[in-house]
Order: sequence, then C-alpha cells, then structure tokens
Amino acid sequence: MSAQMTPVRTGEPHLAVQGLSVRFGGLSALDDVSLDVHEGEVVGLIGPNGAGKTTLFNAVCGLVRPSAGTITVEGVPLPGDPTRLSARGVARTLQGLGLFRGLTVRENVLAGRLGATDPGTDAQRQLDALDLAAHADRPVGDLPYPEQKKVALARALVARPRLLLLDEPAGGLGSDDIAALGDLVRHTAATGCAVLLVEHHVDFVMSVCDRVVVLDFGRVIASGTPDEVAGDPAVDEAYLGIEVTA
Amino acid sequence: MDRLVFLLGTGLARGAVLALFALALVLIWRGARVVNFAQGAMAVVSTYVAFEVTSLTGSYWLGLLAALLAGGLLGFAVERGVMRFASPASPLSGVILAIGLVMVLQSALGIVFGPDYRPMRVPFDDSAIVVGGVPLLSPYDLFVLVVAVAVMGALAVLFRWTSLGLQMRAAAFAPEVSRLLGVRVSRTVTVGWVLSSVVGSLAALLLVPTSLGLNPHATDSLFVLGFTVAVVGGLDSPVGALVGGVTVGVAMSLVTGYLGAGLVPIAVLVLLVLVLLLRPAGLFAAAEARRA
Repeated sequence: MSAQMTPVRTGEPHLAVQGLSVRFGGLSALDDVSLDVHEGEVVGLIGPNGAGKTTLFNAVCGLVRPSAGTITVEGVPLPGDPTRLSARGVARTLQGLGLFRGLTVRENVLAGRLGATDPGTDAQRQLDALDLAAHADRPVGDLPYPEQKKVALARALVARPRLLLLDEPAGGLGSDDIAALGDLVRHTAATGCAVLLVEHHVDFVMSVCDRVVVLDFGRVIASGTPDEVAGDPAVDEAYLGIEVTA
Repeated sequence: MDRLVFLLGTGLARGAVLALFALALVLIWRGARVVNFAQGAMAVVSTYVAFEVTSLTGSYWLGLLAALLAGGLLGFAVERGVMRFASPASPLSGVILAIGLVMVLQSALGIVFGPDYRPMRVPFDDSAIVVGGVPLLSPYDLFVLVVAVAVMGALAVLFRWTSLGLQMRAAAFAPEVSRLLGVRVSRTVTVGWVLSSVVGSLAALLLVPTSLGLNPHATDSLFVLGFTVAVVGGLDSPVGALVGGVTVGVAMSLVTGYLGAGLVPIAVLVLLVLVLLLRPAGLFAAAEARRA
C-alpha cells in the first residue's frame, strides 16, 4: 500500500487519527482510518463523493461520534465537544461557507475570536491581511462569492489556530483566486499551523499539499506525497473506475 | 390640532409598550424559533409579584424590581424546565408547550388570586401635562417612553457591542457553526429566554396600571397586540418591533380618538392583513430569511 511510501516526519504529529470508524446505522462511513498531520504540514484529503472526507472532519470536530478509534491533538484526545475546539487551537471552514449572513464582515470575523482580550484588534489585523478591510462593515451576504470565501478563511485564521481544517476551500473559485488561496495556505502552514484540507480540485491539492490521503468508501486506499499518490493505480480506479490489474 | 397632538403623544407611549412586548417575542423567535404564546401569561405572573411586593412594602420601585427578577427566573425556569424539551424537528411542539403553559399559569393564578381585577398604582401622575394650552403626555406616559427607550438602547448595546450579544446573534443565525466557534448555544438560548421574559414583564408592568387592572388574563390583549406588532415588523427584526410598536400604538390611539374605541380591533386587524398582503414576512424582514 502507498502508505508505506509516506515520508517519515520526526516528532509527535499535531493531529493524530488512529483506527477511526464511524457508522450511521448499518452504513459504515469511515472504517479504520488513520492519518496524521504535523506542525507546519499541509495534508490533503481527497476521494470521490461519499468517500467519508467530511465525515472525518465532523468526527474531528465532535459533530459525529466515532464508533471506534482515537483522535488526538498535541497528544491529548479531543473532547468530542465542538464548543471546546477553538480553546484547543482548532479552527474549521465549512463546505457551504457557514457564514452568519445577517452579520457584517467584521462581525463574522469577530465571531472567530470570541473570548479574546482584544478581539477587535485581532479582527482588524485579519481583515487587513486578507484585503477585506474595505468591506468590513457590509453585510457579508452582499459580497461576491470569492470574497465570502475569504471571510470564512479570515474567521478561521483570526484565532491563529494550530490546526486548521479546510473543507473544500477552492470550491467555486476562479484560477486567480485559487492561486492566491494556495499562497495563503502555504503561508499559514509556514507559521507552524498544521493544515488538513478536503478538496475536489486535484491540481490545487497536488500543488499545495505536502502529503495526500485518499479515501474511498470510508477506507484509506492510498497516502503519500502528491507524486506518489498521483501514480497509484488504486487512486485511478477509485476516481476513474479503471480496473487495477497489477 | 390639540387633540391630534395629545393622541399622538399617548399613542407613542402605548406603542413603546407594545414595541417592548413585541421585542420580547422577537428575542425568543430569533434565539429558539418559537413563537412564545406563553409570553403574556409569564408577564402576568411577574405583574402579580410586583402587585404583592408593592402591597407589602408600599414601594412601587421594590415591586418593579421584584417583578423583573421574577420575570428573569421564570424565563430561566420555562426554558430549562419546559421549552428545552420541545422537539426541534417539529415547530409545533414548542407552540403546543407554550399554550399548555398559558393554561397552567393562568389557572394557577386564578386559584391563588381569583378572577377579580385589582387596581395597580402608578408612580407618577397620569393626567396630561398642558403646555401652552395643549395637552401633551402625562408624566406616566413620559416615564413609560423613557423606560422603553432606555431598555431598547440597552438591548441595542448588548447585541451590537458585546461578546455575549454577538454570540447570541451568531447562535440565532447558525447554531451549529456557532458551536464550532466556541459558542455555548444552549446558554445563549437560555439568556435569550431570560432577557425576553424580563422585557415582557416590564411591558406588562407598564401597561396593566393604565388598563382595567390586574387579573390572570390582564395581558391577553397585550399579547395579541404585541404579536401583531411583531408580525407587522417582521418576527426576526428588533427594529421592526420598534417601528411596528409605534405604528400600531399611534394607529390605535388615533382610531380611539377619532372613530371610537370599538373600532380599534378592526383597525389593527386591517393593518395586519395589509402588511401580510404586501410584505408577508413583515416590514423589516431580512431580504434573505434565515433557515428555521
């Protein structure tokens, strides 16, 4: 299996998922999934629709309860309570943006920094960093889609997370915006943040990620560097239906 | 002209009370997606507390304070003890629980205090101040207006400029996302119920002394009018509650003054139907409604 070709990284992983299984009634959404993400590393999680990618994110966030397995951040099990994630330095963006559409851009970003001593300054810094300051006091729903994506990212980044979960960050973006997003993800990882991203845009994943984990029917079918995964016949079969003969 | 000025003044004071009560309904709707049909019955419980404390101590202000505390406690108890068990899958379950609560509270009050109307005192003169020969507001109307404006201002500050307010608004828009950001949604819902119950109690306390008096059904009409105001303004909109309250209050006052008190219910009904025909979601409903 390709997992054997995964580059060896030293030190404890920041996020460690071990033997994770999630069942919905009789359906196995995740089956004995293990992966890890180290500090400063960008790991891509790919797979066909229904492979279990978002379920894995939801399990990490405590939104679904695993039937087996462990999830640890910095060696400590996650509490299984989504309200305590931010206190553990974990931030997440959602597939459908998940913005508070009745609030302004600034208020959306502030919501990512609840409980901070000076959330206003942090929010302004993040708005400036992502060129959103000019829109700060507009209702977020008035912004074009790519700008709303940036607001969702700003809300996740404002708390300076140590683990960032990005759920389809490139979805709906044009090529220029995707390139800028790639730079932002790499920059974020360079600050020491561990990044795990789910994405269908394969070119984006291959260009941004240090390692890629491929899920199919809830199981890890391949993992390794982008080049290793790209050459894996099991991945071709999962994505293209090509039968593996060797 | 003098009559018009007087009617506008009293209508404004009445509208401010309606706005407060509608605001209480809006707070619950935004936080829990429940039309709290028990709001009036809960407010009348607090008003009885005010009545008893004022009777015992002789102080209107102690009665007011005790009623607001009782309102807050009642809001907490209703949310934690009753409404929390409403099924989120069925919007009707919350409504049915609230209607059941109305029956329980009003029956209990009837058993304890009986059905008689009890007059409540006001802390200020309720005869109109005359300026240049023109009767304006009474000192009590002025008191009502100042209190209503102060409460609305305080709520605006809470929601716009505090972390708790932001958490409450975020939780109202997207509870699951809010949880991921560290918001304890169940706590914000409870705070919403407490706030709403306090505001609703205050509205009843301001209105009951100017009506027939206190009995277990003293807030029935306040609930109907407050609900109308909330629907006219848009159930989601605090600003709508304010504008709707003033609109309905002034309209009621003008109709009473020029056409007779008997036509007030019809006038309110016509206003409600017109708004529902022209803007079914209410005058100040958000362009894009939130998901329930």
